[in-house]
Amino acid sequence: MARRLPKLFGRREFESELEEELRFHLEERTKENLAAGMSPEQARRAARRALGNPETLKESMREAWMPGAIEGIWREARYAVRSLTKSPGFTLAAVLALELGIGTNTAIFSIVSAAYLRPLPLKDASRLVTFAAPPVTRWLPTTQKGQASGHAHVSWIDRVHTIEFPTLCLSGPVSLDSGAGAEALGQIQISEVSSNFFRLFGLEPKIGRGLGPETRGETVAELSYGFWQERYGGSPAVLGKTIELNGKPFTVIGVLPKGFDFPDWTRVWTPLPAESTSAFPGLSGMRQVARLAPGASLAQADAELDAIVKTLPFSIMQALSRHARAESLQRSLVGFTGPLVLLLSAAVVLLLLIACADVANLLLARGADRFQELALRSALGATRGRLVRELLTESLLISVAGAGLGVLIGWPGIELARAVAPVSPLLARGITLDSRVLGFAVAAALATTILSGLLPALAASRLAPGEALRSSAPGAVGPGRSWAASRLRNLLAVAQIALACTLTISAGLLVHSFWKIVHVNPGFRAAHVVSTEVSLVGTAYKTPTSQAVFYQRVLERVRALPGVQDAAFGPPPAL
Amino acid sequence: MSGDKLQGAIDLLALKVLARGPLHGFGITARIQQISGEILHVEEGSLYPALHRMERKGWIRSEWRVTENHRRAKFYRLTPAGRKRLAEAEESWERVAGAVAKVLRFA
Repeated sequence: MARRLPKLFGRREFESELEEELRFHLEERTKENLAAGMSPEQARRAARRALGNPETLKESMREAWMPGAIEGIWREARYAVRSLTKSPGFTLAAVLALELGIGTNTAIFSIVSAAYLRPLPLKDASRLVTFAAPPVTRWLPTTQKGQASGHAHVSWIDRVHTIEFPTLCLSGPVSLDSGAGAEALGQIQISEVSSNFFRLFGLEPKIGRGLGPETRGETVAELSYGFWQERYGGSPAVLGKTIELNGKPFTVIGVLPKGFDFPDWTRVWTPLPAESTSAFPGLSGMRQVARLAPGASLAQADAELDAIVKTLPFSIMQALSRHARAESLQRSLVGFTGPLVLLLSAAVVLLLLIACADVANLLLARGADRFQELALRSALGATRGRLVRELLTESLLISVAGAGLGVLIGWPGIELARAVAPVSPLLARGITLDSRVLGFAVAAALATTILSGLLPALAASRLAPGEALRSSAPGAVGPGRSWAASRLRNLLAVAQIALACTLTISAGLLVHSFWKIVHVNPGFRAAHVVSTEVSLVGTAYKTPTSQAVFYQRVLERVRALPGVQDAAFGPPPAL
Repeated sequence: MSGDKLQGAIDLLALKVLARGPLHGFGITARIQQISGEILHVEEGSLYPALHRMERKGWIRSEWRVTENHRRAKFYRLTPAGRKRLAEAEESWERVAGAVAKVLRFA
């Protein structure tokens, strides 16, 4: 091996040694021929004839050092690098085009992967389903008249065989109070959950105990790991402490392991009260989750739920959907962002196709520039397969460089997507540069190599050497070749323009939809109106009178601010 | 003779010549020609790739030296591995040659 490495790396030195070795041979042979009585011209010619084609000879001397596949690939890669660095402008343009295309595709694919391919970080996540149906516990939302309708509950869920551990949770923001009637500390997201909620997800508390059937109806609270760290510094002394939510005291009994905050950034979980109503009347987000029974499919669960719910009395259905539907938890978390993500994917795939067409065009132009070189090499015995392989190696290098840079620019995009994605953190956390996303980038590089490189390589290596050499005389252009290549370039240009048009039109439509959403007419002039929320729950203002006095004072002081025309209080706007 | 055998013959002759001492490529062709009484002409185009192949296999080593005529030339030298290889090749050649001779005599 030690003898081989210098040959492999000291390429220039190796080449000059080859030259010198053969030159020495020719000179010695010429001298001998002269001594045998030939004329100088004859002697030189005979010496050369005896040695044969020097290029072929040198090639086979080089090959003597490179028998294996690895050496072959290595040689080709080095050749390609040399050839690419000879035209840095072309290389830069091609790499940048692919960088943009592959970078955006990688970033968007990381979102697609998190939404559709990566399982949620929950136990047996693929069998978790959400279902829209009348609540499964002895709880129903208060009716319009403010009366609890819990009496209407029918334990219909007992009749269902395709799902198990049906659970219900209610989520929403409540005010977190420091206790003793002092100021509110702010709002936090909480969830009231039915007693089998933790069992469904297979959750074991990190410290303390969890919520279960035994805590049903108790005023106890389970904290998220993040909340515990932020507010209690991760101290185990938190167990037994009191936390006030909307002015009601709850005893902390446990902390959940890191990373679980389902549903929707929940920081504190409390048990649903045993009877009828929620302890927090403001909670609006209701969600029911269950696990598919062993052997049951999602479609079976959907059909069974729907059939059973249809038999329920109409009174129960009034406030609820008349249709029970089960869908996978992951699917429901993706929700309305799914179509948007797919639309974005289509857009970036179009972008990548344009980049490929662009690079293919550049390669064709380059093939025309290198026509003489290729023709000469073909005349000297390089097979077409060999030339195609070399040209494809160049394309592969361009694609790999583009993919590498693309991942580098895509990375911040992935981080950004994770931070701002309007989806559950359970999903958003999956938006990372993992091995699947990197694999996608590699696959994209290979695909772009074929898409952008194959046709130009075939076109450039197309002609028979004789014709090629004839037409590569200075100033001449082979008629057949120029016709074929220019037709190919025309086709590519047409494809490029068509793709660009499609992309532009789709982008325009997308922007138009966004514009329409943003500029939807709310029925009043929304310009220059600002709103904020104030919560007096659990604060010093206990009586309606003291609250009214508070609101009045706030309004007077806000109206007095410079730049404020008018101010008013009201219920939250339903936008 | 197949290409392989022909290759083997060039290797054998070159190794045998180098067993007498370091020599450059041209010297090897000249020596073979001279000793064989001008009967064997080594194909020069095959000799150099063969030398490089044998160098990669570690049978011979090369170094640049100055000839008696003060010219720089690439000299090849037999290694212990090459010596072993030469012995093997000689033996197998003699077996084949002996077999051919027998056939010629008795067939």
